Amino acid sequence: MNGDDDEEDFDDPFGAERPTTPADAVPDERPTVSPPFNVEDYARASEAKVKAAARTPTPPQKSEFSTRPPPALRFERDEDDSNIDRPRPPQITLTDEDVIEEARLRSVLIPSDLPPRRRASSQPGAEEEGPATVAYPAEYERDPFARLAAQTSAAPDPERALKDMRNRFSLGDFTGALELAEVCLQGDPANEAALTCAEECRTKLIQMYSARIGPLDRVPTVMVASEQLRWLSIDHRAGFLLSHIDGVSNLEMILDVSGMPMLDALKILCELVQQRVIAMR
Amino acid sequence: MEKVIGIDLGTTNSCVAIVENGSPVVIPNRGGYKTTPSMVAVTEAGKRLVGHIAKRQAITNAENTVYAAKRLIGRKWNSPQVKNAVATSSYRIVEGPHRDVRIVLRDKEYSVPEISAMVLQEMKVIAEDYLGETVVKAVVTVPAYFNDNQRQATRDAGEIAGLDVIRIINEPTAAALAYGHGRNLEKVVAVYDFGGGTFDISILEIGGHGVFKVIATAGDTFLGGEDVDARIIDWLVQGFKEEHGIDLRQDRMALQRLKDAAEKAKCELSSVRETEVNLPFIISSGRNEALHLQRALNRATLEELSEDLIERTVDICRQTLEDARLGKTEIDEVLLVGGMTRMPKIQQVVAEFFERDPSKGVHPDEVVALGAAIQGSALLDEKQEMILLDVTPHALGIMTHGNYFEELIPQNTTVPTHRTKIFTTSRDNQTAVKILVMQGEHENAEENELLGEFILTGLRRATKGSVEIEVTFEINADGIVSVRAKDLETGVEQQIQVTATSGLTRDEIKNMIDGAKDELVERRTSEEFEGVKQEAEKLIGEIERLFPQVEQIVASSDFGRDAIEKARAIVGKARQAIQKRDVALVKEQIEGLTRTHRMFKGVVAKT
Repeated sequence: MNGDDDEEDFDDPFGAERPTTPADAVPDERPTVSPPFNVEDYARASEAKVKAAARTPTPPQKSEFSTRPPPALRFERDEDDSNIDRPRPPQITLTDEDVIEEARLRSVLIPSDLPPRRRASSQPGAEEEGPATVAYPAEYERDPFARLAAQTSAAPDPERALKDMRNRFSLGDFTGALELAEVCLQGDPANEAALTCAEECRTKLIQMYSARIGPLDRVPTVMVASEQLRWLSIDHRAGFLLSHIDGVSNLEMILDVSGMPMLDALKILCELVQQRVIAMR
Repeated sequence: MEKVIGIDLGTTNSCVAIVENGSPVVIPNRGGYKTTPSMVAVTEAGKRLVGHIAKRQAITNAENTVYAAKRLIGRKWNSPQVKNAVATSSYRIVEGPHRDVRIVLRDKEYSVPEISAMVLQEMKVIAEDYLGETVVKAVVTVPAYFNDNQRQATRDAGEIAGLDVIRIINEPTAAALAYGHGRNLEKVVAVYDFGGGTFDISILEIGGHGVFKVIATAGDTFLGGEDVDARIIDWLVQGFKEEHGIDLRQDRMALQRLKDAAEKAKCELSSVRETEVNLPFIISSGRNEALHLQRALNRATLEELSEDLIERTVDICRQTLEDARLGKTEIDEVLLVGGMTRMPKIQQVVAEFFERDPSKGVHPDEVVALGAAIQGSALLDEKQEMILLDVTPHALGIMTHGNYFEELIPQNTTVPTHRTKIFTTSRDNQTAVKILVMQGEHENAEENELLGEFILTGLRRATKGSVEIEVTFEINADGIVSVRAKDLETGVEQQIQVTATSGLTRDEIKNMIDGAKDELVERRTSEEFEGVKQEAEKLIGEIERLFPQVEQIVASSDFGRDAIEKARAIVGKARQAIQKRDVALVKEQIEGLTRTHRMFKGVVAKT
């Protein structure tokens, strides 16, 4: 079984149209950082979407058990935003991914029947157009996440969270179910149902990632030249695992020495394989 | 002839050697390294890691990784060295049931000899893999300052590892032995041993008749190459903090990488003048931006960073020569031992201090193991002259009035031996004396190791100094010390037999031996399985590659289709056997796979 066969096991949203990768790239090109699509087309499409979104407010999600990710938050302000003469879309702009991730985690606990937020006074007429509103606490005006924080830190509805967790598990969304189980365990570390679910999710996810990555006796090798490594779009945890890939140690040894939870390490290794940063021998 | 291995059981690294065709050689481990880190770890999954693999996760799994167990071996719980280790070690050290020391890894307690046994077992396996046969006999080295309890604990560790430790020898003696192998030397040699975790200086007198006398030995058990690594890490961390405002010490993964990179840079700077520390994605900033560490380190900076550490070794050398009342000119040869002595600055400092160039004839990492192997070979081969005589590593004596230590058997006395001395009472009307048997060289008895005690009663009432008590020390060929006290007037006598103890009972050792055996069997089975699995998978791959061609060739024949079905069944069975991890079953399937592969190749070749 060669490395190419293994690659086919991985989900490839771009199918046969996969563009430049380290394997077939010109040596001096940056590997893996080239997005696997046409950047300009994507930028144009994104801009159109943003404009459309600005015109039509995003409806609130109906199903609380949906496995769909919560509404996307914009990471950075577009360069040409200042040139667009339009009201800002009803989305919150953040630049800190940690905060975004935190918010995303919290968002799974938000009941779908949240009271609609009162429009800001800078948007005249909005109040009359919108449905009946309830008073929105002043602190939430100052900090849009205060409500979410209050919900999770004070008293997230454990029953609802557990129900959501079970639903996600039954739908096969083990990552989502695990996130919810962990949130539940933060409030009640001894919660039997959350503990069991978390364990089962981890087992399932480990099985999934193990199946993707193949036998653990295989030896991974770095496919990117050392001087080009720093151009990769990976984090320090992936960097740490990469530093353990020496062309001699097999996957099992790397998992042993990483000191990371098995699930995290497997996930990162899978991502590295998917990005073609590493390949198996 | 039965093989005997020599093992240098070091504080940070261990090395195994053997004499082959009359020449001692070091045996490399599976990774090709001639030394193996003396580290043991237990992973989250409960898997035991020994050697390089344990070292690579030493910081990320610090609580469950044991390093420098040698500093603890054979020591009592209340000893200052243990107290120091408890305060500074990342792993948990607790008191054992016999006032000994235990180490907790993943909620399981291990004795120190048990931990050292894991390292020794690794060395045994390395030797067995190299030789292709079981190895039982070994000579193990210990520092010259180790007392009987520490030596006994090392012996116990060997026993737990499934080794018969036929002799324990001093590290500087082993180094001198390797240096003098094949040469009939009569010299005074200084052994400057700067290893990964400890520094030792020993002055030896090599006699013409196989007697290697340790004249003086001193050192620092908390001074080694790791301290130099720590200086490099500090330098890198500080530089990064100045540049990015982030303290890399807060992140274990970053620290693990820094540790590995610092050690690598230090080693490289022994042969090149400048090296680059390049650690991409060392940490992520608060804005999730990956940061890289890239910094050039030159030899001059390294020397500046480690200057005081090197100076400390020189101070110890100076003090040792003074204690031994030896002048530098009386030293005939200086031997460099330990990886740190590869550093050019150290070689220069040693040469300046001893006013002579150190010997280049010995390999600093390997010389101790080579010496042990030479001694092991000599012990088994009756034709060879006995190279080393068994000597007492420390003086033996008793405590006398005023907390003084009265020496009966001096250090380096060849065994078996016996010495007698007359003592008197220290008080009027004293009817009993307490004999405290001690080991060491300090005049102050409390500084020495207490081996045992007993009371001689029934002395006649008399003025102090008038009752005479004869004390006899005897060491037999097995190293067992007997002490007898006799009232010369009445003939009443009491005696004690002192046997060194590692702090473990025989039952405990027996259980540990069984546990280690099981572990080894499991390991060997797993290795065997990996071997057959690889063979089977290779054949499966080959067969699967040939399937389309063979199917095409035999498409028109019923017989051919049957053969293909059978081949598929064999491949399926082999896969199942691999999944079950059943070695015998996989081996069985390999036969079928081989036949199928041969048949497929034949079919393809004919067309």
